[in-house]
Amino acid sequence: MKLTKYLRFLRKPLFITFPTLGKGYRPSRGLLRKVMLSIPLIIIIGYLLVLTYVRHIRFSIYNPYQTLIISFLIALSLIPSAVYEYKLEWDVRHSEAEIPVLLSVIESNLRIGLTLPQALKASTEYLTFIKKDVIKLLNAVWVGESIESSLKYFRRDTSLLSVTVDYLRILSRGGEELYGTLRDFRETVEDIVNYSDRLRNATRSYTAILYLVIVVYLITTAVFLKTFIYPLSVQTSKAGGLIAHVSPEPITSLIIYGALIESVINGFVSSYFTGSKYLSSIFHSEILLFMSIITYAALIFTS
Amino acid sequence: MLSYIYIGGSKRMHTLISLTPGVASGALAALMLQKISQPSQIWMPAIIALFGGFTTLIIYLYPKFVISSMLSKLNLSMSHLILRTRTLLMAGEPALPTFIKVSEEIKSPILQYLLKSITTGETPEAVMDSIESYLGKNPTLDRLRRIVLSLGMGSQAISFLKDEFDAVMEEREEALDRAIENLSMVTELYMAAGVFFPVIGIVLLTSLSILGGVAFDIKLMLALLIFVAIPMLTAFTALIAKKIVEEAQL
Repeated sequence: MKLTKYLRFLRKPLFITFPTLGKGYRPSRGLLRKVMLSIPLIIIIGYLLVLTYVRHIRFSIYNPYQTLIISFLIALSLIPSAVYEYKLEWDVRHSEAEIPVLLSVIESNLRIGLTLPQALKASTEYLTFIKKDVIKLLNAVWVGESIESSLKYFRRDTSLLSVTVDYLRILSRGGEELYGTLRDFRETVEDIVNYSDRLRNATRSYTAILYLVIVVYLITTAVFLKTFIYPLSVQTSKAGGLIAHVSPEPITSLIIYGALIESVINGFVSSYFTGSKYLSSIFHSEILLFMSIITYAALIFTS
Repeated sequence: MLSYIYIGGSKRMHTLISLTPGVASGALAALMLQKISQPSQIWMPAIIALFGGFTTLIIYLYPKFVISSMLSKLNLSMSHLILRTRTLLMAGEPALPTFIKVSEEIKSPILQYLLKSITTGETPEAVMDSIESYLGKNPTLDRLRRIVLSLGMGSQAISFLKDEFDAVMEEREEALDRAIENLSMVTELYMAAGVFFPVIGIVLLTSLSILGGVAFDIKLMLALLIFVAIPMLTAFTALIAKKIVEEAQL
């Protein structure tokens, strides 16, 4: 079965319903982003309160078990944000990529003499991500609204979508000379979409470097702890001598914090390297965080 | 007014104000030097002089950072500005209202200033001259000037904007090639800041503290390395990467 079948949920618009605000209330993207990014902070504060006032355990940054729990909580609480941002990027990228297809179908259908609504109807067969917008527009036209006013149902999430809506508005005014500009406009949009693809493909390999950074960090620190610090802590507690006593817990805990910081930062940084417009790369932070947690959990519980 | 980026509203005033902390701390350090009896006390005036010098530098350079950020924002939105204006012009919309409508959607202080001045009756050319007097000569401002002036060209503006758009695309293509070359260097820097520095730091500090007795507090050193040095270094490298990729973005 194709992977895309499993990823079908990505095609559906993210629609959050707030019972108190009425069905279909859509909070702004900025507000959603702020709420989701503050979840880790809220969860960590909650964990510290529970630890102190319910379990009556003192929190210490040198306790590796507590550090692992904090890392795990951060990883879990970043999941909504990672899914939302990745979905947003996915949706925008694919919607923009479909604009030349939409324009191409409209162009050919107008040339054979169909009207703009008929051309738009024909284009829905070739569209996936902006199909819903076109259908909404057509429904509005069929109940009597003009094309120009129906275009308000079309998304304007990005500048390219916005320009396309403007262009469709122009097209709706009709006129032979306007149809003549269709090819020119489509080619310009194609240039932009192709260029964005080129930029994304050219910088994609740099994400691998960020994974390499964490892998090298994890392997080196795990080997260092397992083969040097842990055996030495047993030896020095027995004998003493010239070598100072080693307490492995603080070192392990700080190293786990290091992995946590590196994983989160690397995720954010990969969006800079790849030129993403959104924080879609938090998705990479998630993968890196879970890799780190598994490595150090295995190390701590087997030592 | 774009003069807000300079303290005191003008370049000359800004330079004078930025020099104040440096001169004051320099004078204070000189006074302290005269009263010092032991050479070991020299660190105090040295720190004061350094702090004053650093403050002067930051205040003096601040407008340059603001201008650079303004110009890069304008440059990033240039393709959108041209394409949208051209699309609306093709529909027969009037040139100046179209430009105003498109510019209002772009959150650029330069465009906001331009619109404000045009709507108060100044000629576009005079406004562009005024912008250049504050921000200096720049290819992005030259392009903006050409676009603004083309609005008076009637139907020829459409083909002119097409040429401008093609020129922007060509520039971006070149910037993309440059970005790919520069990113290789930045990733090497990132590898050093993200892997080699922390790993060597952790291994070296821990080993030295174990083998060398209790010469320094290992927990504090590791905490400083992990909570301060790693985020700072990676953030710095990330900002360089962002700047490089931004130049190639549409």
